[in-house]
Amino acid sequence: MKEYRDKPTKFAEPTEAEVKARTKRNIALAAGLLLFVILVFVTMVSRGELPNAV
Amino acid sequence: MRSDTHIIPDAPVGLASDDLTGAGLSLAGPRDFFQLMKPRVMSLVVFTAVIGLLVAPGSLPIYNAVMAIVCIAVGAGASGALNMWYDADIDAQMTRTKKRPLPRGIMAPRTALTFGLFLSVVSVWMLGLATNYVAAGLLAFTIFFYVIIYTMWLKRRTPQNIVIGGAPGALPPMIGYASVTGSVTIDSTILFLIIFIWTPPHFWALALYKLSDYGRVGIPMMPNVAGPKSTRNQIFGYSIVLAATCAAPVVTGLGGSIYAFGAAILNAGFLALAFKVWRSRAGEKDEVQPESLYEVQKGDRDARNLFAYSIIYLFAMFALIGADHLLTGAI
Repeated sequence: MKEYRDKPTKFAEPTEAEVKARTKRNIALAAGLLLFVILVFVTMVSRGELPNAV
Repeated sequence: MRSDTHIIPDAPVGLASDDLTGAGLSLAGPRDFFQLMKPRVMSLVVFTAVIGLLVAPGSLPIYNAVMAIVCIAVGAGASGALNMWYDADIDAQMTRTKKRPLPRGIMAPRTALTFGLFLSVVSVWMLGLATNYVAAGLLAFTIFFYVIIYTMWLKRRTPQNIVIGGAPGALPPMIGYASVTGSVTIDSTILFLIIFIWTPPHFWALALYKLSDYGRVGIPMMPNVAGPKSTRNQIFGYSIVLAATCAAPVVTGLGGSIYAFGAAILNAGFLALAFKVWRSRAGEKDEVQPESLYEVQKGDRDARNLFAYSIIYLFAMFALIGADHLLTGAI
């Protein structure tokens, strides 16, 4: 049986400002998550809870 | 098709736009998220938490100490974000707050809510990991109190809002202290009380000359409900109690001679300015008020002076406690 789907016909392009803001947010999010991972790791190590792999 | 082209569904989704000028993406950048965390409040939180951590008996490895401060700052920022999410409606109507990211319309409320909740969980969990769960519990309580008790419950219901709601703002030094000791003591309670009792005269001085701002949005600040005269009386009363509370560190040994001398001068200044407010007619006028926090009408200058001094006062008081501890080893 054929699945029903709407075919999109209209598309919106983000403005220059929107793309710029989104890129900045993405970079900040990536940096924040990386920092978080590092901090969790260092904190665990500082507590003497070394991961098995270390 | 470009990779950043967005499909507009037939369903009425908020992002859809017929004119195809922009996809309705948020214009908020990292700076706006930082603004969501109330950086000015955060600076006071960080400073008082550092002093709490410094004067606590015992020590913490430098990495854990830094982590404790970062977590307390982020937890305070999370509270700020959740506060701005809940108060976006009234923030848009007050001159002091209308330039915040949500009233400006560059960020969706749900984004602020997610951001605040995420940072709340992360900061509490990381603080527990880096120090102990008493400190983490206090941080969780701080966020809960500020968001639920103050923002959602008290702020719009009672003129005592900032009296009771001042508690979360006073907790950071206690959290810093508990990060080291893992407990709540008389000394950390004194640090808490200094900020707790300082809060009403600080905010009511502001409210006296920003009366119409709060009144316009229906926030029952003391000058709107009890009137300017009663507020000036209470400001002076709290200032006397504050001065008495500031003597407590000398009694318990939290502060030594340097603190005693400095605190006497600072409290004399506070009392003098509070006395001037008490005798003034601050808050009596109900005209259009200037946008700046520091530009005021003639009759309100005494309130403005007390507000400005109270900020310096708190920083100086905690700096004195820290300096005293470093120079004389008061504890």
